[in-house]
Amino acid sequence: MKQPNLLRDFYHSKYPIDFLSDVKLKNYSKTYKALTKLEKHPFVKNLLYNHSSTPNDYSGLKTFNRLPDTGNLEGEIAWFTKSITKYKDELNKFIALEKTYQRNILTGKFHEAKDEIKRINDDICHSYWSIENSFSIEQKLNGTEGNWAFLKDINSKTPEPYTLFFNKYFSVKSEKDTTVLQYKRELESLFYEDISKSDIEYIVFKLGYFSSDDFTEFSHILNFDSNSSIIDKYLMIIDILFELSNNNQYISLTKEVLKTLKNEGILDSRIDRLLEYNSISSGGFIELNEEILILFDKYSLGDYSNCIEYCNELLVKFPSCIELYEIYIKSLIELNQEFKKTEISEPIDSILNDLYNLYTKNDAFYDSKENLLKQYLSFPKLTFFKQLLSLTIGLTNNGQGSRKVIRTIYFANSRFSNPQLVLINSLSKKIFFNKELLKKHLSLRINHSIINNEFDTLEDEGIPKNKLKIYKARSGFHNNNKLDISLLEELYNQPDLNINSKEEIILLLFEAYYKNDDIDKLIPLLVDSYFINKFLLERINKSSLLDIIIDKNYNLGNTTIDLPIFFFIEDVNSYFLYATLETFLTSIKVNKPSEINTETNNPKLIFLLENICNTDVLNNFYLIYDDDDDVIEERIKVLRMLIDLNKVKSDNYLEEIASLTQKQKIDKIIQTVNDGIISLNFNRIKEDKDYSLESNFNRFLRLKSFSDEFELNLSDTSNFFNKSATDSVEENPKQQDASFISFKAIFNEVLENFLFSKEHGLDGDLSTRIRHGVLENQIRPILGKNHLIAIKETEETYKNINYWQVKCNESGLTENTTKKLQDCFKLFSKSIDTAIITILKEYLQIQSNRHKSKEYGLFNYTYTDDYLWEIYKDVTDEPISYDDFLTIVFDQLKQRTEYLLKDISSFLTNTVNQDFQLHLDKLLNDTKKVLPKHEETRSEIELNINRTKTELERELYDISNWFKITNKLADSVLDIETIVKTAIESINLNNSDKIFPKLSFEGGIFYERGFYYIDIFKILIENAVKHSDLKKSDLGINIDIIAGMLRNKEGVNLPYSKLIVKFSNKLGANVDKEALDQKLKKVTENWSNISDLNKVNNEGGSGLQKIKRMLKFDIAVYNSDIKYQILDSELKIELGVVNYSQNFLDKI
Amino acid sequence: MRILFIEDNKTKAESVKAHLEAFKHVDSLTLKESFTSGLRELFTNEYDALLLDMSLPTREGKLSKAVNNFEQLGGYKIMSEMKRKNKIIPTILITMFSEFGVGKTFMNLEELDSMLQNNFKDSYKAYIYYSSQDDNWKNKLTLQLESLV
Repeated sequence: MKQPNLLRDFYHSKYPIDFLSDVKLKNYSKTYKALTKLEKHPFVKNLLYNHSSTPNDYSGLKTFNRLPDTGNLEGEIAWFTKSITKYKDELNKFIALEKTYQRNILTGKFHEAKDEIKRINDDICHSYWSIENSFSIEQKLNGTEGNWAFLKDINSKTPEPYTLFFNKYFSVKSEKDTTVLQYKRELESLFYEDISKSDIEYIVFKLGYFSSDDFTEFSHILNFDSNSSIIDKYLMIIDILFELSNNNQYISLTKEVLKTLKNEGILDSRIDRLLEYNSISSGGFIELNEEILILFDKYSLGDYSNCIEYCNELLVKFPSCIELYEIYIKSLIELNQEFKKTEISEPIDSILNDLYNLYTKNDAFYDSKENLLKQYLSFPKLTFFKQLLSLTIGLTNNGQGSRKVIRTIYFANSRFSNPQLVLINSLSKKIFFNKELLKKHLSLRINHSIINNEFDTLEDEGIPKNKLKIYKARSGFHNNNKLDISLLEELYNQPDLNINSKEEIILLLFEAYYKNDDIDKLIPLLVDSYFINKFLLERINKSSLLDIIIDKNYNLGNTTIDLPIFFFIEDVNSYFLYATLETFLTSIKVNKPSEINTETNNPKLIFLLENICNTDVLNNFYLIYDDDDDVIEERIKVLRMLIDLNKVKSDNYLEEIASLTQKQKIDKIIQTVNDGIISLNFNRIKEDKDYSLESNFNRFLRLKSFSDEFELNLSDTSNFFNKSATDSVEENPKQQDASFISFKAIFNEVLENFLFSKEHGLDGDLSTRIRHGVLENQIRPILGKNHLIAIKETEETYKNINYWQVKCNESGLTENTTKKLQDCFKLFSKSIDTAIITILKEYLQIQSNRHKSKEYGLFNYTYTDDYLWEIYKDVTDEPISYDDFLTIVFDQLKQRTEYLLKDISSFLTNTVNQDFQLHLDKLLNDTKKVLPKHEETRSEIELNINRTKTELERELYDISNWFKITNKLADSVLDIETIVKTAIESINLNNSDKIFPKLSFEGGIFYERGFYYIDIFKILIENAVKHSDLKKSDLGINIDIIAGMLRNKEGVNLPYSKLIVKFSNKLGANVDKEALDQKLKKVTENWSNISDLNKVNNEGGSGLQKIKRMLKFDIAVYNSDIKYQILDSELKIELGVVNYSQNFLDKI
Repeated sequence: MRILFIEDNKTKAESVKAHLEAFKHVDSLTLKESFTSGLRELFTNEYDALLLDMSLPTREGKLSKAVNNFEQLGGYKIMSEMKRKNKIIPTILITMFSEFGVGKTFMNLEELDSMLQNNFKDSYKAYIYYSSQDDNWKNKLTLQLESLV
């Protein structure tokens, strides 16, 4: 296609769009020239300069169709440039108004700034630029409500989906409470939507320029923006040109486009800065401001007080010149002064204050970083705020996780030429200073010397000595890394160096040592610097150093205490801390931290002992410590060393020792309690006169004697009603013997008493110690901790799991997918709850000859006649007493119980475990079907399910250990504080949602049968959890204990102990207080009456009744009473216990 | 062949053990359930092969669940320690996880495999994806162990 015929050919073209696409496939200059010809054609003219270029209102934004993207950057950028240069007058006007607008923002004149936006809209056109800025102004003027009101208003005027999309994000990021991280996550959620990579790049370029790692799809970004307004397009091309300036591949293209913009008459300092940045301005630096150069000169000479004054003056004149902000702060630091407001405007002082915090690295470092980034986020298209982003990142980031080019945006957006540009990269080094200015300004000569590494001429300029040395040190870095290590070390060791200069020297020394692979110097440099100020290391990328040390197997020339401390600073996991700690200990020839010689009071040693020699790290010493106890003992030894070394914090160390000691004690009790919790109350049954069967036994003996003589047979009616018609069994005629039938009756009587007596029955124990929520409280929390089980909404329905709701939102999963995922969890939750209920209500139940309703009951005490006949024969072989008879029967029951418990243990570890594993497998399969592959949430769910499978299996194994006969329950003697804390700890053991009751103890004595007391407190807490209708974190449990001996009026101890438990918790608004009152009234009124204890064995029976049973029969206290009080949103229970006490149980 | 198997999931441990009982070259199979007990065993006795789970608790015991005791890459720590102490034993990873980590630390099994090959080239042999729902792992494990005979 020849140029002269281009327009004619286009007139004749049947496919004009294809024709134009072909044009856009050429290089930049050819495309641009071709378009200059073609724009005469009305079709092309309309495409280039349509109503979307200068919309009259927001509804006109991005409404014109774009040409297809050719993928050819040169052609696309030519099209883009062509489409805006015609509007040079409008753009120049915008650039001027934009400056005023920015000035208004910085000087806090937000109403005027709002007017400026209106002027731009009215006089030039509407744009996304004005929408974005309007949101931030509304937020400043009218808060979040104003922001949302604007959102509502503008959305009603703009049906265009892209505009609605942008509006949403503009609004969110302007909100005061949206953090930079939150906004970044919002944007990242787009990655999971069904959007192409190139479209995402466009969106991120427009909305989150700071957050992306890199951009590559420039052709697409330009094409996508080609139907935006001229304001948006102009700002877009400037940003793109900056991106291209940092890529060698595009340097010549950048130069061509910049020249076009300049030649077409667009007057913008950004274009000049880009020309300087690319070293293509013919006259060197274009716009060095002499007033500012004078300030730099003053600073170079160390005239800091003058600098501060002069900055104040210049800031009024040039508020958008960020270099002034820097000099102001650095001068304050040089003078060792606190931050001082300029009183020019609130925004300027606020920015200065935050910058001061970053430069001085004080405790507000991270808050100030967030504030400054948030400032940028409000006005990201304005030059000052782009510089602010660049400066903030430069002062706080080590290069990881942020784009390196962001650091140089600073220069591309500077209001005036910045002489330090010569130090930026090899390209910018080529730019030169005007000779006259160079002669006039010391600051220019300094930069000139640094870049040329020539300092002879500076010796007599009056520059402070240290400052000159720093310039020389800096020069080494800018000249192919020829760093003068001895100069740097000299500077580093100077005590009067300010923190700002210190940081620069540390950064340079790090570079120098790293380049020389001098790890033995690198580590102490970093650790020593950390001890001076931890923020001194913020800008150093140390992770590769970690890798090198690990790669060297920690074998350094000189291993010192700095090695583990350096790894601690880098926040590695406990294994790497162990590895470095062990390496250090080996180097000083000891095995454990407690063997370290502590004669010298060294801050690093204190730091190591305090922060690194903790139980987490010590746990990894697999050859040194056998178990948890050994690890805790070692930590206690370390803490004792610390008490001697660092007396100021001795209270903290003592507190940790006390907490570890108590934890150790509580852990042991929990282990003991959980290792067998089935007690056989034979002695109590024997001693219980009410249940004595001695007369029945004597009758049996008489019958036996009579029957032996007269062969008296009787019909056994004991099972009459339970036998079905099909149960025809051949009965042994001997079993019709009257004495055998009598024996069976007594046996069954004892059995039923053993199993179901309301005072001592096994069923009561099972109900109190296992079925009363305990099993549920072991299994559900494991699933809850891993976010797999939902909370019940009603009997049949479940709530959404909030954790996954948030995750799905963060990952940008659709509502439909999220709902399906929640349905998977709800289904699973129901199946698990059903399984737990079945285990409790059907399997962990008792069946006997007289109680057959629980046909799956694993505690199967059904004895056949044949079996009983064998026992009968044993009993009747020789004359025996009633006590002997009981012993034989109890032996039988014990034997049967042991046999059953083994079966039940196996049932739990096999059948139940397999059942739960199947439920979990199903959940995994179900969720995989719902979520897309390689999706983060899916991966986390898989992780949690697999972890749960193992944890649940281990838990069931631990639960199976409960099913052993124990006699420890009666033997335990514990103090009240341990009792209460053990109850809390055992409830918290599996729960991620832990409870932290407020405790107070007055007095203290030891209590016999302490394990039962633990159960009592567990029941009180579990009742609060279950019936308060509140989240655990909102329960507000208070436990006040008054314990001690009862005393008479003379103050002499009586042989009774007292215990008053005041237990209170908050109640949810939905709790039926009337029903609760009725229930508690009934329990408290009948507290001394034991006739209602039969209900204790029932599931759903009152927890307080279970407490009554334990107090009355298991602990056998002298007396107890209970009171309650229901307030508006609180339940108070007071339990009083008086018990017999012996001398050895006296006060601790 | 003396094999040490470090695995905390009893079901998985039992089914691997049952499978290996039929493997004629296996003289003994010792099971340890945590990072510390596994390492202690590894450095106390001699083994010809190590079967390793990736996600392990730090320590065994009834209270192990009371503390933050679960390391998703606990197996990685074991291999790091072997490397640090120059203990070279052919190691096969047996895992139920197909993906590890979240966010920036996210890795699928293939990526983990590649990382292990890079970092532990002297000892790491291969990974086997274990699932209770199929038997594919059995053949793979047999083949890997045969290659060590």
